Amino acid sequence: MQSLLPKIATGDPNAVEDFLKRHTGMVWGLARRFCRNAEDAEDATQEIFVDVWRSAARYDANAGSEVTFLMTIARRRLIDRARRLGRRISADLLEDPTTIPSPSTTDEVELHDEVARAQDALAKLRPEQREVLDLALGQGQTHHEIAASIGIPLGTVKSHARRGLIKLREMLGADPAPAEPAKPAVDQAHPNEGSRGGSA
Amino acid sequence: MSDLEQLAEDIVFEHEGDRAVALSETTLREDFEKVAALATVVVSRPCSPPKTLRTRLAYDALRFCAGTTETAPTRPAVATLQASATSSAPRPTKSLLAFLLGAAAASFATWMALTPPAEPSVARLRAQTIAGDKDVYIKWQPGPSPMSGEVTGDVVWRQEHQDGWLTFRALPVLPEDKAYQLWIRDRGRGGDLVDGGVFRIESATDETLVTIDPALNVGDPDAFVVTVEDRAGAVVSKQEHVVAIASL
Repeated sequence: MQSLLPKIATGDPNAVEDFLKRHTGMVWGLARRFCRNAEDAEDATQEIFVDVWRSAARYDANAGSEVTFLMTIARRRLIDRARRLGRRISADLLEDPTTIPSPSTTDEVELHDEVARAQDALAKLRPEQREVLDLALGQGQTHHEIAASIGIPLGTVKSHARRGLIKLREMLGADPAPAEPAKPAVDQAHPNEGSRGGSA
Repeated sequence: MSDLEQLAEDIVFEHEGDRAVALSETTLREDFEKVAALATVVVSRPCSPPKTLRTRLAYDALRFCAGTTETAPTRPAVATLQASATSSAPRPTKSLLAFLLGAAAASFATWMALTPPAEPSVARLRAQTIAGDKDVYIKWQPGPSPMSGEVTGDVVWRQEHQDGWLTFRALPVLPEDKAYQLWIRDRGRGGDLVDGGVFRIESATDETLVTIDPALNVGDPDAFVVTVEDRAGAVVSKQEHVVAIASL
């Protein structure tokens, strides 16, 4: 899929319109899960797209796909907001009409080769690693929330998270991580975070 | 735990307010951030955005395409407008959203009449207004609609007289069942969109002059938007076809 970002950088209104059609659902879905309420999520989504318009000229197709560029900005914005405004309260998400799935947007996203490779790589992770990354990256849950929701110790959650991300990085073609000695899944540096174990 | 593991963990949980990613080699960090972004795309659950959000995004996009996020108006406008013109895309007022969502408070009673082109008196008034420093003079920028063509022209608004003129070149001639409609955003009304009336273009090649004669008082205009609507105009615009925008 050809990126719209070079045209957006020139202020091409059709490219901007197509970009919004292509990606708004995904960004909104993410913001809605990271933010405390719908209004906050709207503000965040607006900030993200304004940032994209202003940053479009910096896009380098050799460095990654359009959607990766967008999601890098989206994550950065959401992280900044979380620090600035505090954590979200998202207990009402399931009943929230603003979180109605938008499957057509998923289809668009899946057209990117890079995303397809990431999808394959994610599927090859251990289920518990995949689940932790899903909850942290896709849902915006903290490691405390993840530990509570799936019933594993905090240290195990963090272990799954870091090993899952490192494994993903290896599978996606980045330089492999240096070999490290095998170690227990629970960090010795955090003995108070639980010791029920769990494998990585 | 190795530095690599610490970095990976910090990036996954960076959204936790009290967690900071340790300084690390930039390439390595960017690598992990890219992987995290890609994983986020995969696990994301797209949702249908609400109309209010679509409106806000469209408004920002219009401002971006019109160059107003980066550049000043072509010509100085009323001092009070200049003072509040921003260099970044602001959050649209709730009234603007209401307009775009179907709750515009503006009257539909105002209609604009096509005037004979280039009447000497009008031309002189326009020239005087443009030369002055108390009124609004903004050039059109094409909107996102494919119908916008290569539109050029300007908006001249006389605040004291509550009237003004629009000029257009290269705005396409519409089918019989369609018309253009002007909307004026008025900060004096808390950002309400005032219906500026409907008009038609008879020639895309010649310059068309349209007189603005709103029935409602416009206190503090900061944007003029032209949409394509049904021939009779719309009380509520779905903002599906924005063909021109002039924004301070």
